[in-house]
Amino acid sequence: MTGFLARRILQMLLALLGVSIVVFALIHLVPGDPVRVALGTRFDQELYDTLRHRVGLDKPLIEQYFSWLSHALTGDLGVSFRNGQPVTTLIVQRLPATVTLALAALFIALVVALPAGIISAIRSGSPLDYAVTAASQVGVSMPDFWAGVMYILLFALTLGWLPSSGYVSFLESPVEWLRHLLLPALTVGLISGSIITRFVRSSVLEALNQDYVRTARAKGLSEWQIVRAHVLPNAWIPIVTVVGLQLGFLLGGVVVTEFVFAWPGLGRLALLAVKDRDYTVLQGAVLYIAFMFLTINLIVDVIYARLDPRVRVS
Amino acid sequence: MSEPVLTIRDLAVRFGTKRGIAEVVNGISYDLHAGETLAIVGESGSGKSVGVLAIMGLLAQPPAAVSGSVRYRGNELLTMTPKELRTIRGKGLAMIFQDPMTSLNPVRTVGYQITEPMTLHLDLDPDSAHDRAVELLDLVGIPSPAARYDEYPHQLSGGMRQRVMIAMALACNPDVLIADEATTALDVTTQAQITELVADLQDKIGMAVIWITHDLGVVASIADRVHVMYGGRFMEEALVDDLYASPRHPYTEGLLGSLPMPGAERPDKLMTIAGLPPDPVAMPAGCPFAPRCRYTDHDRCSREVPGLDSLGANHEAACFYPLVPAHE
Amino acid sequence: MTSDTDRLATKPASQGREILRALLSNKLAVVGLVVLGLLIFVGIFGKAIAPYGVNDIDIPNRLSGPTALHWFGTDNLGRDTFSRVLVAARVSLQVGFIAVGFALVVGVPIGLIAGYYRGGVDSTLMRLMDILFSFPAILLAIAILAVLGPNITNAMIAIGIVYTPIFARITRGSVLVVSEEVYVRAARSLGATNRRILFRHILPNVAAPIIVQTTLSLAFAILSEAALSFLGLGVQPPNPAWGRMLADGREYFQQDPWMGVFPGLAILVTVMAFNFVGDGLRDALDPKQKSVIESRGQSA
Repeated sequence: MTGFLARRILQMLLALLGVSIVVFALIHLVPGDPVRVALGTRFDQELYDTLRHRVGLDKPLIEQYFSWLSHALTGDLGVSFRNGQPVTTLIVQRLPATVTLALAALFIALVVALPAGIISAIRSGSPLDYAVTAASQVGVSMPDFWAGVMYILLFALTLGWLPSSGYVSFLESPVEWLRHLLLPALTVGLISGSIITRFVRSSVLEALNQDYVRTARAKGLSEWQIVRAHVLPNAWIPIVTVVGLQLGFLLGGVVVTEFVFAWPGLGRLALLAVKDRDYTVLQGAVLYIAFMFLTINLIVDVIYARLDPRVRVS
Repeated sequence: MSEPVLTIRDLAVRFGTKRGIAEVVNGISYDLHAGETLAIVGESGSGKSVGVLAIMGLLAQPPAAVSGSVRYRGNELLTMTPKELRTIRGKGLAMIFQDPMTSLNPVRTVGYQITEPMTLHLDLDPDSAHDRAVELLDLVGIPSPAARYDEYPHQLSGGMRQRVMIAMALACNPDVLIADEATTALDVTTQAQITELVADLQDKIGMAVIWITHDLGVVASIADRVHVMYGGRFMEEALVDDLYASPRHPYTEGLLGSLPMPGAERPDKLMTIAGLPPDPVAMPAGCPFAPRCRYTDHDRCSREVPGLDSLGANHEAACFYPLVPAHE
Repeated sequence: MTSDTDRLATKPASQGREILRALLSNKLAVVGLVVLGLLIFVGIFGKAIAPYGVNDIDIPNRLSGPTALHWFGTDNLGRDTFSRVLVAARVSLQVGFIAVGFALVVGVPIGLIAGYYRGGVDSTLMRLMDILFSFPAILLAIAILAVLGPNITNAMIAIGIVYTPIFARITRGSVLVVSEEVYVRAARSLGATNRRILFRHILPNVAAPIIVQTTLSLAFAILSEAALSFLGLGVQPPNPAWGRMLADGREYFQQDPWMGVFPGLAILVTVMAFNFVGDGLRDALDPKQKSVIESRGQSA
């Protein structure tokens, strides 16, 4: 197990290294001079020189990379081109909103997907199964921005029950926090839930078709006993993997939903950075998101290894 | 002669398929007494596995439709509710399957899987169940049984897994053990060990065994009686020695002739039976074996289905032209 | 001599017919195919069959809901939404096909080489793919567009890059399995060159999961394109694109909620159609296909 863990961590570090190179390269692949492009119409020679020096663009490439990397490892991701704030600060400010949305969406997704997936697999072929399959087909194909816009239209603009955008911290007002969280979480959660539902259903279905289920039946167990004692323990394992991956995705990949709801998360930070040509912020945000993504993938793999005795005891 | 433990009459199983109704089992009947070993032999597609799955109530109906009568200790199984059947499955009637790797749950310990039927049927407390499971593991010849209890199927060899399956099946002292191709996935040496083990246990416990197999070589050493199955029917029924010494049905002759036997007259050529087993959706009228039979008259054989005729002590064959007995 | 192993490895034509029959018996897949057929038709002939010009401004009739004259209503400039939705189909399909084409052309060879030659080559290539996999899809696309500049061509490249690793991984997975098959070893022992084995024996037998993944990736490539143009990073105005139209519709929500409904519906229907066909293909090609094929797990 420790050997496995060690290898996996090494893998992650390598990937992280690669990611850092790619992210670092971002700013240098921009056609033209990134600082000049970033300043745009606010061009000022002094500012230009200062920023160039700050970012270290006047030094050789390799030196720049190591300098940037070592700074990044100590938490210094540079400064925003736009307003001079430290990138790390901007990221940390965004974290609560990002994590809140991700967890809320995942919660909604699981509450919907687990029962729906399991029951539709057990009652495969029934009208319920068709309904669940149809609904999840729609959910998986749904553009999240369209869903978000439709929900706003319905719940905020027409019914007036919920606000159409924005974020309120839990510490300020729990009620408002919830009201603002509901629609974006629903938007992403239902779509994520559809993905997970399909996966749960196919996992459970596959487990149901295994020979050991036939053995369990031959022992006289009822269908429910079989599901609880034999099917679910086997089906959990791939399901955990998918849920973990979804979480990783939710932490950095819901850019569009954050945009629609003006939700101050990391994705939106990255997006605004693109629009403002604020490359240092973009670099920082992307690096951080990739880091979270990789970490979660690692955790998922470790959990998988712990759950599956075939990997654990070998 | 005591009452049979299992009485099967005119058991038939039909499946609804896209291509039509498949007649997989077409009226088989037999009795099984305590301590007896019956072998049901046939090619794949002969209906032998489906027949015993029907007895155990493991066929989903629909798409299957089971008819006939299956009496276990006098009680009719085919009319029982699923709940009632569940009290018999795993307890009075036990079954083991072909592939022990896939037939065991990979994420549960061996011990758990053995104690499961005990907890279910016998209401044992965890400690007693644990002890009995270790006893069973020992009984089936697994070394270090106490340690094995906590291991997982993938940590055991193929032969050992099949022993675990047997231990599981024996957990509640069944009256009947059904072994469905239980040795097919094993190598020859392990096969012999397993069949010996079951025979041994039979003597100790007094249970009846039904061996389902396509391998006539395995049957010779372990069975009391043999029923040869083809096209969902019994073609020949005999005591094991009689069957081998003097087969009366052309199909049996073909099966025996295709066995490589050391010291046989023509060691260079194995007999083969030309043709393929009948398609259950399109069963031929008349004798199911007629299309492939060397001795068919192409007339009556293709029109009428031969019933099982008694040809002597405990020896029946379903044929209008049974072979002449070998030793006359 | 080699022709013997060729015969062993080549799938008979009847298998193709079997697969087609299985696919067509799947009702959802048939619906998907019909819709796709319609879509491609619209994509080609959109401009011709559209009742109004795509940029025909008609201010007096702006922001109306569906009417007899304007089935999908009009937008903020009075342009007919129905016509715009039809013409936008072409852009979406174009971007989708070219992006996925890119991913195929780059990803499949990478997967073939990695899976076949294994060892150091495999590790290196897969590490590179891992790096691409470390980013959520839409974020990666946005970052690429940040560098290249937001326009339709770059959007194709960006989406293509995002979907390359999936094809590489799937191809590699299949190749690993197939190279263990007997006919490959037979071919090798008969002296076939690596290239011959790769193209003649391995590629045809890994085609199935690649085809399924292509269909599914097309679905999400189109979704990604819509997201990008929604964010203003893809197709630029005044060319109509579904995502862009949705974004505009959002601005005028209060006055005319209908403006955003139909483009979104168009995206939904298109993506669903591809998904139906993809699922149908997956079931037809191998009902026991494991989840090697990744669907929406990692996309926008």
